[in-house]
Order: sequence, then structure tokens, then C-alpha cells
Amino acid sequence: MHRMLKGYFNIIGIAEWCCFVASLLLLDKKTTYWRFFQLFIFIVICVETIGWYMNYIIRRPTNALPFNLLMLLSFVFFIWLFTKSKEMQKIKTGLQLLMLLFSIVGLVNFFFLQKFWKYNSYTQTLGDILLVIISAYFLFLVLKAPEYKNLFGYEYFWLANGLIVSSMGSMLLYYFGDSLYAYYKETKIPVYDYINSVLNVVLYGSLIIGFICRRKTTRLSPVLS
Amino acid sequence: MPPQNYQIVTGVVIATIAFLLAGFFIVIIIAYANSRKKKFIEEKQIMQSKFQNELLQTQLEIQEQTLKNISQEIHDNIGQALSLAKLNLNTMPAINDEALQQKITNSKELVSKAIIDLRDLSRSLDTDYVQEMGLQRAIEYELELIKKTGTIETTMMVEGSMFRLEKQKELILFRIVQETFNNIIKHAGAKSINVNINYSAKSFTLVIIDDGKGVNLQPLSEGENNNFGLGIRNMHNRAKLIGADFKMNSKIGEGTEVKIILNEGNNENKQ
Repeated sequence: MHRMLKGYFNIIGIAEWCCFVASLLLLDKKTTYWRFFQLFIFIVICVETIGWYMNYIIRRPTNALPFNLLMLLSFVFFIWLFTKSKEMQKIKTGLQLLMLLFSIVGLVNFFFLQKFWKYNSYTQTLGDILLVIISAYFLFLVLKAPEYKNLFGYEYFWLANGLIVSSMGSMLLYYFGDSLYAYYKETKIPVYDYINSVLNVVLYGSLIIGFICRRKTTRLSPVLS
Repeated sequence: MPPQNYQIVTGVVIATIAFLLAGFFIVIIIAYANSRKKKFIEEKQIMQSKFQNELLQTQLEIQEQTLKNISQEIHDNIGQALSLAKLNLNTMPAINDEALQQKITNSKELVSKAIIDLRDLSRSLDTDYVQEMGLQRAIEYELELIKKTGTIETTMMVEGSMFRLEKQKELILFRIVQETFNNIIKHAGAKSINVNINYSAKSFTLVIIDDGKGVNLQPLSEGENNNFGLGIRNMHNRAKLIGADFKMNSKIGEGTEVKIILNEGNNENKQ
């Protein structure tokens, strides 16, 4: 029982719930499309709950299916969000095309390659690489822009930072996941879980800061593109 | 467990720490680059502002010189010619024809009026004359000229003990006042103009109020009737050049108020 509860109410779960509550409190109609984070994080929590249920209650050998679907949704959602930023308007069409291509590749992997019940690490890796590149490019555009912008108060800056750190770390984790599991079996030290927790805390923490910035921005200037 | 696995795990942990530190350093570096950009933009704005001020100063100097030249031309040439014409009319022998004599008398009056009007115009254009009279007297003089037309009543109220400002500032303020009066005469259809001057230890305040038809200031800034909007912007820029605060309030049907405030530290020569 204790292990069951610990499996759900871990650091990652707490970070997700904090992010969800923050999105409910901070995001409203004025924050426009950032409000979709409420739905997105709700879906994340639901998927985590289903995954936990499959793992600890009905004890399926693998709970990858819901996480594979969530993975696709996550990457498409983040890329879509970047298409809404002012800096990325010039390559908006390119990003939309990328969303479409990634979705197709992800679905092909889901249905034909790694399939439903194996964790779609190819999609994960490709998505991480894309997010790192897009986030880095976004930061480059922000620095290159001639007008000054208070970056610490800019929601997309925090989104990009959070995604860069968590995506780069995730790539590493999934690439060396087997070695880390073997290490855990040998030493009982869950290095994988520790790193994964830190990366998720960084990501959700960045999102919460992004929500605060978004709310402040929309309060200062009511008309926002 | 093979030693290679331990190495991989160690590598992963170090790499993760490196990524986290990299994320932290990215934030620091970007913040630093951004603050430098802000400083650069601020410096650029200061330089642009300085350039605009110098340009405006030059324009004003050229304008004053031109007005001075015109004033001298009016006095020396046109004034002289009219004086000679008046002299000729005065020295004409009496004529028996009553109608013709009346015409000559009317012509003499018109020429006399033209000479007076030109003299007044020459004076108000002459920079030296304006600076000699002082701002307050120069404004009184302008109001007298407007009152003489018979179409607009003028009043002036002065509070506090008078002091002179720097000559350059008085001249620029006077030109702003002239432009305001011109706008009232041309566009406002006003029946009265009130000028209030307040001298205090901390500031000099000049307020011009008319009871004309007023103006909607909003569309002027959007490009409609550009000449008039340009005039107001010019007055604003001139006031800014001497460190004065220029404010204009107007409502349709309720007249217009122009207020210029020059604060302490910008005044001198208190008498």
C-alpha cells in the first residue's frame, strides 16, 4: 500500500498537481491560448493516474500505451504554442508543417514500429531533439531582435528554457535507460527516477513561472496577439 | 554489474548536472546580453533626442533670422514706399470735385492704416524688439493688436512678481504664444482670449484660454489634417527644447486651453 501511494504521490506527481492548480488560478480568458495548459495538464494527470492504475492495481506488464499517446500530444502542443509567439511568426508555416510531419511519424511508430505497448522511445527522442532545436532557435531570435524585452517577464522565455533542459536530459535518460535500470537492480539506487524527477520539476517549475508572466503581461496590455 | 555500466551511469549523472548548469548559464548569459541591449537602446534614444534637439535649435535659429530679415525688409522697403505715398497724397493740392476729394481722403486713411499695421507686423517679427520688450510686454502687445481688429476681446491677468527668463526661452515662448493666437484667429472662431501668467518662486506658468469651437485632438494625432497636428507638435517640441511642459486641452464646443509650465531651475533674472 505504501509503495502504491508512493508510486503516485512522488515528486513528479506533486509537481504536476502544483502546475495544474497554478494553471487554474493564473490562466483565464485574458491569457488566451495559454489557457489550454489547463486541459493539457489535466490530461497529463489523467494519463499518470491511468498509468499508475495499470502498474500498481491491475499490474499490467507494461503501461506504455497511455504514455505513448500523451507523448505525441505533448510535443505537438508545445510546438503549436511556439507558433503563437511573436518571434516565430516568420516560420509559423514551417512549424505547422513540422507538427504535421511529427504527428505522422509518431503515429507510424505507434501503429507499426514500436507499436502500442512498448514505450515509443524513437518518438520521444525525435520530439526531444525537435523541442531543443525550436527552443534554442526561439532564444536566438529573442536575443537577435532589435527591441529590448524583459526576458525574465516573458512567458515564452521560461517555456523555452524549461523545455531545453528537460528535453536534453530526457534524451540522455532514454538513451541510457537500460544501463540505468541495470544499475538500479544492482545497487537499488534509482538514478533514473532521481534524474527524471529533477527534469520534471525543472519543466513544471518553468511552466508555473511562465503562467505568472503570462498573467502579468495580459494584465498590463489587454490586447495581446 | 560490468564496470562499463557504472561508467555509463556516472556519465549520465554528470551530463544531467551539466545540462542543468547549462540551463542556468543560458539564463545568466541571455540576461546579461539583454541588459547590454537595453543599455545600447537607451544610449541610442538619448543620442537621437539630442540630435532632434540640435536640429530643432538650428531650425529655430534659421526661422528667427528669416523673420528678422522680413521685418527689416518690411520696415526699410515697404514701409518707406507707403510713407512716400502718404506724403504724396498729403501734398496734393485741393480739388474741387467732392467725390474725388473724398476718395483721396479715404486713400490717405488706408495708407496710414497700412503703415501702422506694417509697423506692428514688423515689430512682432523682429527678434531684438521682442527680447527688449520682454515676454510679458510682447504678449500684451500681441493682444492689443488682436483687440484692435474688433472681432475678439482679450484680457490678461498676471499673478506674482514679474521676473525675466533667459532671452532664448522668452523668444521661444513668445513664438509659441504667437502660433497659438494665429490658430485661434484662423480656426477657433473665438469671441475672447484670456491669458494668465503666474510668476512663482518655483515656476513660470502661462495659460491661454479661448471660447472658440474647440478641437478634437484625437484624430489629429492619427494623421487627419496633418498641418494642424504638425503645428501642435512643433509647439510641443519647442517647449520641450527649453525644458517646459506643454499641455493642450480642448473639447468640441467648449474652447481650448493651452498651458505652458517652466519649472524652477529653468528660470533666471528675477527682478
